[in-house]
Amino acid sequence: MIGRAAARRLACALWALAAAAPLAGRAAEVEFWYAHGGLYAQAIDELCDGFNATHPQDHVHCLSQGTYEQTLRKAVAAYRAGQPPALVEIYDIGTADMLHSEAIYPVDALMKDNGQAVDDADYLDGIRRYYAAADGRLFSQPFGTSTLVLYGNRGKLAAAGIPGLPRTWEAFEQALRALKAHGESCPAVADFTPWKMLDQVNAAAGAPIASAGNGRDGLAARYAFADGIHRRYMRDVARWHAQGLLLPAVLTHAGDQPLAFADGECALSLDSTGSYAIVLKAGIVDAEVGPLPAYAGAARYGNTIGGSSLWVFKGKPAAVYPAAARFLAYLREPRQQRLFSARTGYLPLTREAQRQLEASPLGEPAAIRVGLASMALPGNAYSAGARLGFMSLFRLIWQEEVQRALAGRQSMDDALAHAQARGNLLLARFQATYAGTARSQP
Amino acid sequence: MKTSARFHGRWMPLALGLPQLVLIAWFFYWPSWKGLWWSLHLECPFGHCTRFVGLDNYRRELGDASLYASLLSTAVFSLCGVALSVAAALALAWMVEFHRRSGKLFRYLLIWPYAVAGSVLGVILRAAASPGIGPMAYLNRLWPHVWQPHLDGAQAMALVVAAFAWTQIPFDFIVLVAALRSIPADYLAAAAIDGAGPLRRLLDIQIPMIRPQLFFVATMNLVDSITNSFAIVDTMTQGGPGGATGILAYRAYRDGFVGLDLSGSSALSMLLMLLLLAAIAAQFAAMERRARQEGFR
Amino acid sequence: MIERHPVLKLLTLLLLMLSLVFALGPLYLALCSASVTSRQILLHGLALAPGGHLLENLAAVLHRADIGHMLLNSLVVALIVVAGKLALASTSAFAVVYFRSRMRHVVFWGIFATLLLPLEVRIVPTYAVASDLLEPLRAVLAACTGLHLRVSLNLLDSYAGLSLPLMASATGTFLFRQFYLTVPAELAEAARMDGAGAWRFFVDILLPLSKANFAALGTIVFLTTWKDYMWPLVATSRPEMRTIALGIASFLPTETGQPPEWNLVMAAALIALAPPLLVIGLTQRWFVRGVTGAGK
Repeated sequence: MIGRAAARRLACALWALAAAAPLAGRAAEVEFWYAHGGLYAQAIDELCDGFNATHPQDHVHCLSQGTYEQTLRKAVAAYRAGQPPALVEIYDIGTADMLHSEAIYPVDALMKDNGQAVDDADYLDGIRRYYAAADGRLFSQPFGTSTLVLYGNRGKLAAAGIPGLPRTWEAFEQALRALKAHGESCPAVADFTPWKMLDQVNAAAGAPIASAGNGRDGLAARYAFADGIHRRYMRDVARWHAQGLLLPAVLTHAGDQPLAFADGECALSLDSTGSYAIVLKAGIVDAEVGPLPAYAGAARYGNTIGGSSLWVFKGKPAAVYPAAARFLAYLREPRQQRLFSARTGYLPLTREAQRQLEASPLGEPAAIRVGLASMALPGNAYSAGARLGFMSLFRLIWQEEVQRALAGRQSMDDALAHAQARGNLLLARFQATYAGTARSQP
Repeated sequence: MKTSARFHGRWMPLALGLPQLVLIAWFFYWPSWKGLWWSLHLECPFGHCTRFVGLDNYRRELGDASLYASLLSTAVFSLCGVALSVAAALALAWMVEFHRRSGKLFRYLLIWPYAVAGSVLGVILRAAASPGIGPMAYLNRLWPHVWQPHLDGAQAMALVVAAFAWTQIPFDFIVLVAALRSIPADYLAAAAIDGAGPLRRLLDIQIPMIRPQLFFVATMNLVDSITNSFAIVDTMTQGGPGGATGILAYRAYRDGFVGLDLSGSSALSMLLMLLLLAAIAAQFAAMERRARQEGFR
Repeated sequence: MIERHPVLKLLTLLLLMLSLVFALGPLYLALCSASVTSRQILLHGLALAPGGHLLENLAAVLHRADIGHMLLNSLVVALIVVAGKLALASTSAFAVVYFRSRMRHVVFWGIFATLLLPLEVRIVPTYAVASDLLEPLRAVLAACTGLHLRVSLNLLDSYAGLSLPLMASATGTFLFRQFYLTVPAELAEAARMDGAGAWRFFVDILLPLSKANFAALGTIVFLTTWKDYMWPLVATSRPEMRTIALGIASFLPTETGQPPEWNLVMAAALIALAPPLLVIGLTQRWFVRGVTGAGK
């Protein structure tokens, strides 16, 4: 029995080797690992089919690898084992890891080496700001991108006598009170994620999350958010939460922030531009979309973004790279950007694509129009967003400390101070880990 | 119970165990050795920089105050989870055996939960326990704010313990049904003729006879609760609220899998391994002493 | 049994019914959500009562993904792991329990230690081994002799790669050890008196006695392998090697803000549930038949 099992195993292994052999033989096979499931995965598969149909000499295998975390984890394991894909989609907060990995072929160099003209200046400001290295180079190609906007249920706002979407946090609080007084059980809904409450609010205020230009100027950066605008905002959030003005998404029927707004339960929601697709799909709420509020009298800077970009691994056979460059150029075509945006609700990436979207018969969806306008506001050193090590872990720490404050087990001020201190330990270790490498920041 | 009779032969046991040992050496010892190696280094995720730091990673993890909170929640989670799983599974197995005829159907249906994929389970259980919809929301309407696992750490812990038990009970149940089944029917018949009722028979005959299997399921549950339960925590609470369900396995998974922190996560895993070793050794020692005492009796 | 306990019977029956509600309640919720439209879920959250769109959703799932192929992959992997684990576990446990030699301790603790560290926390090095089966050999050889081998054997995206690491665990050995401990010592004694060797005893006496345990362990291993998610996720990158657990996950939204399709997720989950339920039904009969006459 054991012998037979072993023989079968050997046969399988040999079969696998045999199956892999012809793939290696053909020149322009490109593997692209992406990090989406469900409807988004379908949209990406469509892009790939379009490319393969129009580029008969190349073949891109678009392979879904699960969530963002899983894809990054797999890419790391595959690279260590010497078998990475040529292209991989990595989420925004993995940017620092990828930049320091010494495993990548910078996209700008790839495009230049393969004769693909790319005008980096054509990328929308907020997007280029986010992914650019210190010298302005783009090491990866932006892909799925969204930003934060304010959604309001027009019917409920009108019924509570609120003329339009609040533009300041002061007006936001008044709106919450008016809605509550009018008998709304859920004036606003939140899932208390740091991307919305820390990254975006600070970017819009041009306030630092961390020193050294939010980490963009080197590994010595440390968190510096616990006593600025973020503290003021989180104190407000804690008060709204305690007074039942801002409901945690778990308390809603839908159990999820975008759904709780889309099903008409909650009147206001600060959410990603991508969530507009859900609102439209549900078709219940007449949604008004406005920019993220700011504090009265404070300067309003451009939003930062969230999402993913595409990275190229080095060390693949030379024939792979021209094909990879052609695929990236194809994805960057305004036509494909529009197709992808229409299917997913992600933002267009370049000015040209934005112009075409504006000019199209249906125009831009409201959330995309508002989102792009928020990103086009002038930026400063901090509105580009943070680029720090172990950011995924820091976000969990922030959530842990804030949850404790919301449950009344510590003050919000203490929560932020703790999150900052624990986050700084992570940054110190990230710095120590990469201290041995020659290049500290590309 | 007397230890089984033994055969002679020095190399035959090794030959019989060898295939298993080779497989394990390849897919367990070698990877674990690498884990140990990483726990003594600062290692970049992509592997291009690595620096020996001795016990620094351990010192750092042990100096982190949140580790001790995490140890406490691990202890609570494991003890409650194992106790609940084994007790419920034993009760179910016994009741199914007690109802010889209708038991068949129950025996079949009670294993079903074990076939449900983990990715779906989290979604369903989260919905079933949601404070905003379903049965628990009804409780909240009767008594406002009585069920709020997103704020109340104890409730969140109860939730993950229940979810853990839900996934473990079918496993225990299968083993214990098989164990009860392997007790010769004449033993029980003889006891019944002597006038021992069903409960008496359970306590005096069935439980002592299936003690090795009870020990087996308890150990497996303990191992699963300490090492393998991160998926439940990840889908149900993400360690929250405020770290209340941040058990050690979840931290090791989170740091390594999500955070790409090979060094810290490896050090945590090694600590986890020591902890588990201690727990199992204690369990084994208790079991062996018990067996020896009875041997002398 | 001969005697009657009407009150106890009724009480335990009620308890069993209640536990069925707990055991099957979540499955009922899955069925409900699998039988409504995604718009209904958007409007009302996960369904609490069944709707009329089950067939539609099942058809959509079958149309969207190559479910048949995924089921086949899962089946092949699960069967390899069941066969391998049963063979390895019954023999290695035999070595541990029935021999006097000190080697048995080496075998037991060497195997038992695998319980201590789950696959998930050593996933990167395990991936490295699976991508290059000879890596440990090469490393050891290079360390001991300075020789550098140049061969490698990639098991990623193959049935071997999917199944071998799952077999490297102690669960089975441990279960069989615990079972062998309950087998009356007189049996082995008698076999030795009759001059039967260890192997004869194992094949002729011990294996037939272990039927219920084979059924139990086989069922457990089949189900755990079937629903295993993490290892197939990591060890495969090509769709043709995907297992059904990955197939279900491919319907999950990967981001908040992405319109969820819980109806399809649940429909896929129901499809994935069918083969394991069949297996449980089949092994049930072995549970019963296996040991009723044991020890007589």
